[in-house]
Amino acid sequence: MQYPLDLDTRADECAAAAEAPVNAEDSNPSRTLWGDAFKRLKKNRLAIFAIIWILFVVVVAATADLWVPQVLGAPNASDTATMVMNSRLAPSLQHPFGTDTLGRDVLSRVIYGARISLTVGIVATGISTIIGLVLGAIAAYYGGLWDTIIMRLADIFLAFPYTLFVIAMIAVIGNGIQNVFIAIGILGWPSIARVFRSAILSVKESDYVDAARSMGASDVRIIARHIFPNSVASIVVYATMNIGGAILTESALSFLGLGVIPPDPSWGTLIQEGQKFLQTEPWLMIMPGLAILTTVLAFTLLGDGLRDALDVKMKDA
Amino acid sequence: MAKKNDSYVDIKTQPVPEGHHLLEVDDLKMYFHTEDGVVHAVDGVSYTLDRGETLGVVGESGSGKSVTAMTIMGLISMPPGKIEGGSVTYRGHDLLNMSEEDMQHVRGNDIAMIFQDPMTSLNPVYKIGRQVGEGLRLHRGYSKEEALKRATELLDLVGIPEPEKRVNEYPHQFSGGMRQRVMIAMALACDPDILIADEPTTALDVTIQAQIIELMQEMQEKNGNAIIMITHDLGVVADMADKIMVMYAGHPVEFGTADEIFYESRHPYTWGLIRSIPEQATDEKKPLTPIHGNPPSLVNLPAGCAFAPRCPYATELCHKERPKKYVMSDGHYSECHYADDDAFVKKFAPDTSRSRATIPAAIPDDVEATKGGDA
Amino acid sequence: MLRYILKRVLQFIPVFLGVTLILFILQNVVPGDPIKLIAGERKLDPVTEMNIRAAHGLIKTDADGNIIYDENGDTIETPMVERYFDYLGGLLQGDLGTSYQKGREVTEMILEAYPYTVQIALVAIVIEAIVGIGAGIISAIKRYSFWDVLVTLVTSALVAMPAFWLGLLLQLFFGIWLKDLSGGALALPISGVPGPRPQFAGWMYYILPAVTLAAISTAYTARIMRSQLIEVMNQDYIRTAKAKGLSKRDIIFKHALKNALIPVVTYVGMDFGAMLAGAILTETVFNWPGIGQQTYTAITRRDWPIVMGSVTVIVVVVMIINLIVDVSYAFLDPRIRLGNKSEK
Repeated sequence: MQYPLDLDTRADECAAAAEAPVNAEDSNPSRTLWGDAFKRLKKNRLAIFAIIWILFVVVVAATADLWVPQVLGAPNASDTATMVMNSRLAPSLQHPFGTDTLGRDVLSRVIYGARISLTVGIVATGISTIIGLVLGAIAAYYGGLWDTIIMRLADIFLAFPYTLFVIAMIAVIGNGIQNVFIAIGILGWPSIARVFRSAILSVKESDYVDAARSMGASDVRIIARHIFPNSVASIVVYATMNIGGAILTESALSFLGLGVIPPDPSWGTLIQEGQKFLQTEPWLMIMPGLAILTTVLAFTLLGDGLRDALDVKMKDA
Repeated sequence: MAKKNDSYVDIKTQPVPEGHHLLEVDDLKMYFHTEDGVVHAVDGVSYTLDRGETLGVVGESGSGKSVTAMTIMGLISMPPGKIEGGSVTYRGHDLLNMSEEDMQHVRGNDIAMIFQDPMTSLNPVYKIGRQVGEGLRLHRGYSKEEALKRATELLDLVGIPEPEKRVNEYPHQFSGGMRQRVMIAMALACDPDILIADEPTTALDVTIQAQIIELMQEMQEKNGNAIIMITHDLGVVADMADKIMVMYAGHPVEFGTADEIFYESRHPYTWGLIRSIPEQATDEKKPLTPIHGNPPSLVNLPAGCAFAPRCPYATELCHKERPKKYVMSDGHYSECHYADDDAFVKKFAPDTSRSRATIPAAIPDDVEATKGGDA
Repeated sequence: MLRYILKRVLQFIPVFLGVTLILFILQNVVPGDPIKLIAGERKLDPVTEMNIRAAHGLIKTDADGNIIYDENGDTIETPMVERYFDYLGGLLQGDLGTSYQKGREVTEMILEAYPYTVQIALVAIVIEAIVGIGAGIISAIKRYSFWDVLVTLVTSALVAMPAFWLGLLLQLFFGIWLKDLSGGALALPISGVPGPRPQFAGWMYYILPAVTLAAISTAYTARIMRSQLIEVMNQDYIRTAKAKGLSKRDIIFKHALKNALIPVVTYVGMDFGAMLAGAILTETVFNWPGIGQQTYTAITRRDWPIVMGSVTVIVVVVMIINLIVDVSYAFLDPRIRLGNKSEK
């Protein structure tokens, strides 16, 4: 063994010398989809701003009970005396966003509104994503009649004028936050189902799925272990962008008085309440609108950032 | 789209200055400044070209052969591209420092280019006749009708049947080979001095490949234009080229007449290319030998010979020092440390090379040697 | 082409039936008796109520319109399926029923409200096409310039704000602040439609609602235009055009734009369809008596014939617009127009 070993060592040295510059270039070992994506995302300044803003809003909203009532005043409770005294004060140090007609601090209400808007955005998106994933998976994987039925159903849902549909839905199931979840969640599934369906169709025929099938993997297993991970990028991007859309829909419903039930504050209700004082106290309407704008923008930018980082091709604009 | 300036004199009608060639490329360097570093896409390319001549530029993808051509045509966007040195002189005019407006007169009129993928190189929303005649309207001031008439003639010339009907069709109604014929018709519309063909046959079937090359040669005989033929396949330029430049990592590693490259090559990379021509291998009843590994990153070039990491004969010297330019007979040169080592060449060159009994002695080119060796 | 149109129309029929059927089921599970809501707090006397139900086909009547009673002397409720077929039958004759609340023909009410929606949509789509395409082109040509950054910022903000909020902001800026700043000389109307004695010139009423309606779509149009133009500029045929000696101007406006516009025109066309579906929020904010507001009011009052009628009209109109867009797409893109022919 001595002789060949000797030769091998020499060859290895040569190879190492030759390849050294190539290796130096490749110093980062992370070569996975998510590792790469994270690196790219870190470079995207807008996406980082978006993440920071979302985290900020989440933290403020989550910890609101601990400090908001003490610092700014409770969002709902208000006795008659303070009501008259504090009614519609202009923004000041004590009330940065001013107060509303019942003397309640608007910033406090915007912060509590964030809880509702974020919850609606995330839960509704969660519902539509789950429905969309299941129906999309069935349509794509089983094809045939299932595909026809589900996709026609998606066509029907998409043919409906969206706002009208949500309103009609709320009319049926009644106001209240749970019903807003359900209405937005149920109506949001067709686009996710379409995205997931085409994602599955594109990987369904690939060799590694064939290989898994030939090894006797079950359908559910194939979808869960082989197809889902390969389309998860597009779903994550789509869901992120969808959260912003759900927040916007919730604000529209609440603006029309179909969303949360007063006195609970939602950003849409706050705008609706402020609308009456457009001429005299415009901040009542402006501030909650800015809250919606920045939060939805943050989700959109994060979605854009994820799309670029994960290199997802979006089919619909 | 009338001709821009009636008083403009086409450069192709001006004489080539005494002692100069039609096209002279001298030590051209084009670097790309990217996030990952500076890409040395073209790193010191020199050659000359005369009317009626054909130059073959051969190399793997990423060797800088296309970028060289696009730089001559002024088709590289700058930034990220930047010319870091050298010159391109066409009939005594400096192309690199020409105004964009003057360059527009040169493009398509004096120097025309055919691209690799005929499927995507034609605008899908315009009829063929319009696209072929566009250059004539631009450079010759033809009317719409004149341009269409000439376009029909050109299609006929490049062997497209029923040209009267085909001028009114759209690109997607043409097959790949037919589209490349359209591209040739388009490039030849204004009788250019130089035709640059960038892998014109790569995307086509083998049988169509031969037809397209034949067509280009026929046209060259008729018009007397020069051709720069860019390809990764040495076999394509075998019968066609007068001179061949073999490029590796943005740099010419061997240059010579077609005969010199095929039969007297003194560079292991060229040998590798020769061995990987399928026909050659069948003729010799030898197995097809691929060149192992990949071209180096153009950002971090190896310190020594760029080909050394893949060269089966590389020695320590090759990894450490950049080879000098060894000039053999008239114009034939090779950049390999062992180009002048007859024993080395005799031992490793393909059979075709060794069949030539007399190997002329090489003389190192001292000027180039100091330049290359220190790098 | 004719076959394609026919196929699309046939495909549309099940979608249409599905939409109307879902809506029909929805109205039957909605809590609240719509007929009892007519009089509000006061109670209708039983005979009047019964007659109203009979007139709307909610209870069974004979051929002469006399109410049929069962053996107990009670009225017989018409089953849902039967009423759905009644609706479809009426639809075929152009009859969309009668409003519960107002007792007026739904067709008549829609014909009254729809022109307002169409007018505002027309103004909005012109704004969207001109501003959106223009901004997108500038943004793409002068990439990374001040204008590009501006367009990107504005479009990002627009797509992230609720349309009704934008409407309120516009009312604040152009109806209130502008008036205050100019001492009452300059202002735009912020509510309603031009009446017989307009306070402002008639066209001014359209500005703010149309801008509000167009804003978000304009932002999308600009973004699509920008990304399409940038993508097209990287195509091989643009390089070919440059190699021919064309100027940058000619390359952009003759070779790139026609290709890049195809998807943009499609988007704008589809969006016109969406606008014709009526914008509930914009119409509500500006008190604009279009079909969106009418339908919304009808939902809150459970005035189902109006809801059914409006949705029917909207869905059909949107379908027709989308079909027109698809057909014109084929005319814009020769690859699709002649696709079938060359494949054979």
